[in-house]
Amino acid sequence: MKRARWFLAVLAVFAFVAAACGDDEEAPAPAQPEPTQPAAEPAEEAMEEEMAAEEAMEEEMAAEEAMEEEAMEEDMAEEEAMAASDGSGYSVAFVFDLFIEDGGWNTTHYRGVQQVQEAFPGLDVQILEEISPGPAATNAFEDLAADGVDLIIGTTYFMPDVMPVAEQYPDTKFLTWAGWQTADNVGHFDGATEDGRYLDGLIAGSVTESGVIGYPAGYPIEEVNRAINAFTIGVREVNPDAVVQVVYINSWYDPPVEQQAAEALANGGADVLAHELNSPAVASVAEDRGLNIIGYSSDRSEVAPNAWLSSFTFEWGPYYIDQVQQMIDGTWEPALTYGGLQAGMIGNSPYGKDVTDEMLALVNERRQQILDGTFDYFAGPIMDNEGNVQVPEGGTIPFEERTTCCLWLIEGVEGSIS
Amino acid sequence: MSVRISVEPRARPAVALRLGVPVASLLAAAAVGGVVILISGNSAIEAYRTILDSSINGVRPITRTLVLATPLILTGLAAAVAFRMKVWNIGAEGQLYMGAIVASGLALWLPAGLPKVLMLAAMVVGGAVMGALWAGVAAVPKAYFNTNEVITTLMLNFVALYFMNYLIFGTVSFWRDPGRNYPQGKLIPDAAELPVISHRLHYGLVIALAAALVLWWSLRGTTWGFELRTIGDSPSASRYAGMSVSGKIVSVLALSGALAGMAGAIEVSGVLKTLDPRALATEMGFTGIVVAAVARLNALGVVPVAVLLGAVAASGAKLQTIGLDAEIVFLLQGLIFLFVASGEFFLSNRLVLSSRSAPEPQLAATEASHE
Repeated sequence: MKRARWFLAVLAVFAFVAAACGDDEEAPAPAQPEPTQPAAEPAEEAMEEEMAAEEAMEEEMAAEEAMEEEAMEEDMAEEEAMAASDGSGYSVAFVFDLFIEDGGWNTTHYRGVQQVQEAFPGLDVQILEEISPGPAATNAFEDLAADGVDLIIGTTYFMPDVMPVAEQYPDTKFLTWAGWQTADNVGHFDGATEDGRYLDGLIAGSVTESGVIGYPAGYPIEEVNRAINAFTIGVREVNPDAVVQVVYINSWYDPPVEQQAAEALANGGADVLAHELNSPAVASVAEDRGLNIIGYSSDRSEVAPNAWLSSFTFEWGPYYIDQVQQMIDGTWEPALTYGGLQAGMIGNSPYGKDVTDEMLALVNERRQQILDGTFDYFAGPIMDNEGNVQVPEGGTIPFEERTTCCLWLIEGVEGSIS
Repeated sequence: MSVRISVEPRARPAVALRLGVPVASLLAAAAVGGVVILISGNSAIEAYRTILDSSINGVRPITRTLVLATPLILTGLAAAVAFRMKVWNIGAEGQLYMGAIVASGLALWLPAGLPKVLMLAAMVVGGAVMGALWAGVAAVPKAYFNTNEVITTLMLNFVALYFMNYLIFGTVSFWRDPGRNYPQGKLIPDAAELPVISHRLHYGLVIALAAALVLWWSLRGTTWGFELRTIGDSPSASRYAGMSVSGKIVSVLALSGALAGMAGAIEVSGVLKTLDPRALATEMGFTGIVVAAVARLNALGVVPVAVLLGAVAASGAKLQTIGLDAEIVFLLQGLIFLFVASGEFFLSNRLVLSSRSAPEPQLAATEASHE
């Protein structure tokens, strides 16, 4: 949407170039009067009706969605909802920096929102989209807090924008993704992608015949590198000679570039593609070329019915529901939450037809071991792809320290972070 | 049959027209926008009341509008001064990033105990110089080899964007605060923060307004301004008259870049307090071109236009809370840009209908009716 302004700017230039004949220059520009809109009575009924209609629609969608969800989550949601109030009299707002239908990051959070709505039918839930970090976000959080919203959740890195508002509205509770500084009314959360990525790696490594897996990703930041490293550990556990070729495209969402990167990796011999990008482009390439695809955080089997293997999923719903419940119960405390499989914040999509029972047996075994705490895929020794020892024999990357790892790529990854 | 529509410049629009057209443009945008809002199932009156409430109705809304308008004033001036000489600097976006990078770098590198005045001066001047240098990369080839500056300045935006992203997301640079879950810049020291006028509104606004005044006066009251306009109209005539056209191209592009770089420095110092690529890459530079175009390249006109766009942006989130979809909010903002810009176009130009064969429109009409 922002591109529209871009386009307008370029258009303006061409208008100038085209009309670069004479013009009257000394005329002072007109004073820009303030927009004069008629002030009028609040059309509150219309608004309420609208909101009710919207809610009804969203509930319907949520219900549909729920049928596809894992049965376990559904039970959890129902349990929570039955245990306490239906959320009437409370309000929650979710702030997104992009659109909820991106099919990737934001859609995973939106699924969580739908689960919240399902668990608390009486809860007033608002969604704000396309809120840029910076002053626009600060304004958005301020508007919501001033409206008396009880709990405001930012689904991306909004911490700097939230802090000044939180100070001003001590009665409002705030949660943001990946923040690190708590306050009396500010907590943060993040999901341990690497748990799911390790399991995805087991499948990718089992499926690949060429031994080359292509992995287009966004930026070479800790979180992404950590996921790639865990993925590669999974791949090489079942296929010690396989390599993971990583390309960073310096964007989280750029369909044409995502497609180019995927094409290039496929041309280079990759027969399985994975990705850490938000559009369906990589999945489409895999489908069109008869390859296999590991998704990123969402089920892409609709885009790539034949190519589809698996993807970890973010399960924000149970966490959100828990936070809302605590808010209603008055037990809410600010916290830094980092959760993986054990915390239920990482799940998995349905598996594709090329995933054999044998592969599933291995994945399920490892998942259970991680849940039981009897298996650590980050157990040393771990070498990076430049030959340095990153985790010594007998060592590991402790769960609490994972969020600051990794500024290196593991042995078996072809690619560089600088 | 052959009726031609041609565009002719208006000699001198009447005062009533000059005041009436922007008002009419806004009303027209509001009317069309109202229909869209109604179709989307919301109340147009409620929507417009919200826009006014969250942009101009009260001290806090006004400060929010002005915070958003401040960088647009400077990038609007950056575009206006270059376009006035018909040098098309499309690179304010990148020049702003480079200014922000240098200003935040200076704030982190200089001793934190430095007096505020010195620290702020270093940041603003540093940002401006860097913006000027970045524009200079396109200006020198333009001046001496006549390369197309539309292309070079546009492309340099991407270089600056990727460089800025690299500093925070691509590597552990001097700017980056290491060991965070999500990559981010180090916070600048208190001495590097612009003082606050009210709420979150900072003194960067005053710098921007001063820049607008100085530039407006320089353009109309000095030899420098006269030369700039003359070269814009006819480079060859100016050269014949003894003006240094190449030197002027370099100096004007550098000034344009300096204004954009200053916008970046002020955004870091007054609003973000860190080098935050995601908050800087919000097209303040490109929006400046729209601002300049609507203001018809008048330095003083840039101010109200920037404030109008700031006001529209300030209400974006609030409009969503009353039930408008984000898409509808952007559509409304786009309509306001479009109508105000085209209103300005029809203010300085008029449409003339004429027949190709017959000079008399009436004759043409008769002919048409015969056929």
